[in-house]
Amino acid sequence: MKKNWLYLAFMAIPLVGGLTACDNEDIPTPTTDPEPTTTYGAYIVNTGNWGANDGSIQWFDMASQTVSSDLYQAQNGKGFGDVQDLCVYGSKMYAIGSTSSKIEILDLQGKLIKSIPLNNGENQPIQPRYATAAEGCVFFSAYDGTVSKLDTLSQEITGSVEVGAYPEALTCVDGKLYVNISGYGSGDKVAVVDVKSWTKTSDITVKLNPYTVCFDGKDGYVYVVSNGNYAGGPNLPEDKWIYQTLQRINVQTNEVEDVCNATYAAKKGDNIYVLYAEYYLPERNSCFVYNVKTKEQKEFIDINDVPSPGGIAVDPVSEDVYIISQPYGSLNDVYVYSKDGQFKKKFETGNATTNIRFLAE
Amino acid sequence: MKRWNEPAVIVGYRFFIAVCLCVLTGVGSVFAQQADSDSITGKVHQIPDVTVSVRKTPPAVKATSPLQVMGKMEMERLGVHEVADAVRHFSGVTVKDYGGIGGLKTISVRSLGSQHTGVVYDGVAVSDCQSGQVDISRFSLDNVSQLTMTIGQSDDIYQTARAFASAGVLSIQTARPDFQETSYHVNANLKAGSFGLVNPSILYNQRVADHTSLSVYGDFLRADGNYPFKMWNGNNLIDSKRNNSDIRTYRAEATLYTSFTSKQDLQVKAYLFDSERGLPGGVIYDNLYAAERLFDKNYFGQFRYENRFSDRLKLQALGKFNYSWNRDYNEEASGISDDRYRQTETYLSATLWGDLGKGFSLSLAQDFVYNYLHTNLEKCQFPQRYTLLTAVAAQYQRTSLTATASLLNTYITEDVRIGTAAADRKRLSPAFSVSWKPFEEIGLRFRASYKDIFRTPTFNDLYYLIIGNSQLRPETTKQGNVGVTWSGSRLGFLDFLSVSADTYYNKVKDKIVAVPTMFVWKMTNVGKVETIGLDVNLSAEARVTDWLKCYLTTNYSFMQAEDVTDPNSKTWRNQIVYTPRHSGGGNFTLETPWINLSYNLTYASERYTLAQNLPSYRIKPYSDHGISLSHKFSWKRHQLRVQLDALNLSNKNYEVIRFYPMPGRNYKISINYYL
Repeated sequence: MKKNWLYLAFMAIPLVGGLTACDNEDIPTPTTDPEPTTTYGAYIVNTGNWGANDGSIQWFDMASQTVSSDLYQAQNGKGFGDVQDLCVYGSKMYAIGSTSSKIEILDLQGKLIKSIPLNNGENQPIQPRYATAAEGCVFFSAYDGTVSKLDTLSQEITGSVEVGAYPEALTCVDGKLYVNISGYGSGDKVAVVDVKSWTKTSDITVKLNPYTVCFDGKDGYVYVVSNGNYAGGPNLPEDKWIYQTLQRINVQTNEVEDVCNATYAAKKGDNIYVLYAEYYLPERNSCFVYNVKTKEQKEFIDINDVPSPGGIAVDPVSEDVYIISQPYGSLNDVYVYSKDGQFKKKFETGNATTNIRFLAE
Repeated sequence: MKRWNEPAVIVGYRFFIAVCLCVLTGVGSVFAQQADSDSITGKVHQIPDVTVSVRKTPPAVKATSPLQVMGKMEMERLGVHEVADAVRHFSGVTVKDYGGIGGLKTISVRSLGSQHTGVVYDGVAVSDCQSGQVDISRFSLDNVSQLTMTIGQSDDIYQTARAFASAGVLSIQTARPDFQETSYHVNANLKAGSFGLVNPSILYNQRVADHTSLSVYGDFLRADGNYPFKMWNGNNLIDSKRNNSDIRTYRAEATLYTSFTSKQDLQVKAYLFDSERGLPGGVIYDNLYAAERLFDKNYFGQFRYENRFSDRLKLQALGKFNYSWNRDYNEEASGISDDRYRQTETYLSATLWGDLGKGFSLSLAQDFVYNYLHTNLEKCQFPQRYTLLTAVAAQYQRTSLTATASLLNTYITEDVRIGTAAADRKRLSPAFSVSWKPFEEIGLRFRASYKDIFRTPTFNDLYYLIIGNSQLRPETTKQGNVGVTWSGSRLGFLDFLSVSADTYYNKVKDKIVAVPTMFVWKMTNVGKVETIGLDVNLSAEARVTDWLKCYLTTNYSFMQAEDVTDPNSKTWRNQIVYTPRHSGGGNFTLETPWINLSYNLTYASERYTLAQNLPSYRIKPYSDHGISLSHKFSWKRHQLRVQLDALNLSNKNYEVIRFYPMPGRNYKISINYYL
C-alpha cells in the first residue's frame, strides 16, 4: 500500500504540471482535447450505502495493477460520507456527497482543499448529484432542481440555474450543458443550458426516466440512457412498456435518435459497451458492444460471468472494459476485460461502486 | 414516491419504511390466554408489602420451551419504565434501538428477526401487515402487570391459533382490577426526566356492580429529545445534538370486565393512540438537517368472551377491529413529500379446550384475519389479505412430565385492486415440546422442543413500490431447543435460586432480503441463516439481615448466527448483521426499609452492520449501567412511591444501530401515587 502511495504521488506531480502547462489558467479546452495516449489509472467511486457514510475513493493504479485503500480517509483522517460522483479536472478532484450535501475540492491524492456545504435559502440540503467540468468550471446537478457552477479558480459557487425536477447526470459539449431530468422516474427531458448566458435554452424530449448516463460521444452527439418504466411489470400492459434505451442527441439540431437498449453504457471511438437488464424481463439481460458506424451489435461477454453487474466503464486508451459487480452485503468487484471480451482480471473495491473515472493523458 | 434504483438510496428507504411503517404499526388484536393465570403477580402488585414466604415454582421453570416472566414487582425493583428496558433483561432477545424516546425499538428472538417475533397486548396480537414488525416503544409500562417472553411454542394450549404462528411471542398483560378493600383504585404517575421528558398517566378502576368493573387509563408523553452526542468520524470528533427528535403521544384505554354468571366472563376494551414525532435519522456526515415528521393514529376495540362450561370444557371467543393511520411528511429542497398509509384489521378467534382426563387435554383454535392496506403512493396496489389459521394442540401433564404437540394450518389468500396478487399460501406447521422432572424432591427439569414456523411476506415485501415482489415465498424457521432448569428455596443463606440454561439450533431459509438487480433493488428469497446459541438465566434472592434483602438476576446469551447462503460469497459463515455474539445483563438490588437501591447492566459484544464482517463495519461493544433509588411511603391506604434513576452512567453515546447514537447520561424522576 505504501509503495502504491509513493507511486501515486510521484505520478501525479508531472501530470499536474502537464495539465497546467497547456493552459496557464488551469482551464483545458475540451473540444480540442487530444486523444489520450497513456492511462495512469482510475479513480474508483464507491458511493456507499444509504445513510452508512461509507462512500470512498480508491485509486486503481494501471502500472502496478493494484487498488489503494480509501484515498480520502488516508489523506484526511476521516470518512467522506457518501460519494455520489467524482469529477477529475485539471489538477483537482471534485467529489460530491449527496446525502452529505457538499462538494469537496481535493487534490489528486485525495487531500481536502476546500469543502463547500450546499444548502438552499431555507437551509435545506440541496443534495447535489452529478458533476461535469468544462471551461474552468465544475457544473453539478442537485435535487433542488438546479445546476450550479463552481469556478475552479476562485473555488466559489458563482451561479445556479433551474433546470427541472430531480436532475441527474450531465455533460458539457460546445458551451452547452445537457442535463438528464429524471423527475424521480417521471421525467422525460434533457435540459440544455447555455453556459455563457447561463440560461436554460431548451428541453429535449427523450424516453422516460433519463438517469445516470449522459456523456459526450465526442462525435457531435450526447448519449443518454433512459431507464424506462420497468417493462414487464405486473401493473403494466405490454403496449405501455418502455424499455431502457440509449439515445443520442445531435448537438447541432437537438434531434434525438435511439441507439440501442441499454442500462449502462460507455463509449470509446465507435464502440459502445453496454450492460442491459430489464427489472422484470431477465431473459433480456445482456452485455454487448454496439458499433455506431456499422450499427452492429454483438455479444461482448456472457453477462452471467459477472455475478451482480451494476456499472461499466472503458479505458480511454487501451479500450479495456471494466464491469462493476455489486454483490449484496459485501464489497464490490471490478471485472476487467480486453476490448475483444477476454477476461483479464478482477479486483475488489468498496461498497456500492458506481463509477470509474480514468486518469489519462 | 421514492426511487429505488440506486444502491445509495435503497437502504435508506428500506429503513424509512421500517421507521415509518413499523414504528407506526397498528396495535392489532389477538386475545389469548387470560390474566387469570397471573394471579400471583396480580396479588403481589395489589398488596406489595406482604412477603411471600412460600414460593410456588415459577412458570418459567416448568415450561417446556424457554419462558421468561417479569411481574410488576420485578419491574419496580429493576426500575424499568419502558417495555424495551424490561425486555433487555431477557436472554435470547435482541432489542434494536434507534435511540431516544421516540426512536424505533423492535425485538428479535434468537437472531430470527423482528418479523418473526409476535407481540401480544392483553392477549391480542399487535400486528402490522405492512412492515411485519412492531415498535415496542409505543407501550407504557404504567398499566402493565406482566411481561412474558416465550421462545418457541408456549405450553398454554388454550389460546388463539395466532399465538401458535410466530417463532417467539412477547406478551404484555395490563393490570386487572382487584377490589379487596375498596370499590375503586387510583394509580397516578408522573415521570419527568432529561431532554424535556414529561409523562403523566392515570389509571382508575371502579367497581360498577357486583360482577362488573371498569378500568380507565390515560397517558400523555412529551419530550424534546434533542440530546447531545459525540461521535468520531476517523480523527474528527462530531460533537453535536440530535435534531428533530421530539415526540408527543396521547394514549387512552378503557376496559370493561363483567361476569354474566360464575362461568361466563366478558371483557371489552377500547384503545386510542395518537402521536407525532420527528425522525432525526441517522447521523450523516456534514449534514444535520432533519425535518421528517411522523404522525400516527391507532384505534382498536376488542372483546373476549369466555364460557367455562365445566372444569373439563371451556371456550373463548374474541374479536377485534383495528385501525392504524400513519402519515410521513418531509420537507426537502426537492420538495415536500407527504405519504399516508392506512391499514385495518378485522380479527375473529374461537378456542375450545377440553380435559380428557388422566392428564390429557386437547384444544382446537380457529382464527380469521382480514387485513387491508391503503396508501397514497403512486403505485399502491391496495392489497387485501384473508388469513385462516387452525391450530390443534394436545397436552399431557403430570408433575414429572409435560408434553405438548401442536399443528397449525395456515391458509392465506390475497387480492389487489391493481396488478397481480401473491399466490395463495397453505402450510402445516408442527411443534413439539417436552419437560421432564426426574426427581420428585429436586427442582430439576430437562426440556426439549422443536418448532417449525414461518413468516408471511409483508405487504411491503410484496407490493411496496417497485421493490416489492409478489413472487416471494414465506421465510421459514426451524427452532430446536434443549435445556435444563432448576429452582430451589431456602438454600443456606439463599431464600431462592433459579437457574436455566438452554442451547438451541435455528435454521432460517428463504430469508427475504432486498437484493440489488442491475438497476433497482428487489425483495428476494435468498438467505439462509444458521444459528447456534446458548441462553443462561440466573435469579437469586437472599435475606441478609432483618432489614436487608438482596436480589440478583443475570442473563447471558451466546449467539452464533451465520450466513450460510452461498459458500462462494464473501459473506459465507459471517455473523449476520446487528447480532452480537455475546450479550447479557444483570440486576442487583438491595432492599431496605428505608431505600431500595438497584443497579442494572446490559452488555452486547461487537456487531457488524454489513453482511461481510469487515473491520470498518464493526460497531464497538457496549455496556450500559444504570442506578435506581426508590422508596415507598404508606399512610393508611395511601401509597406513594418515588424513584430516581440515573441512566447510562458511563455517558457513552454507544450505538445499537450504526449512526444512531444513544443518549448519554440522563436522569429520571417518577412519582407514583396509589390508592
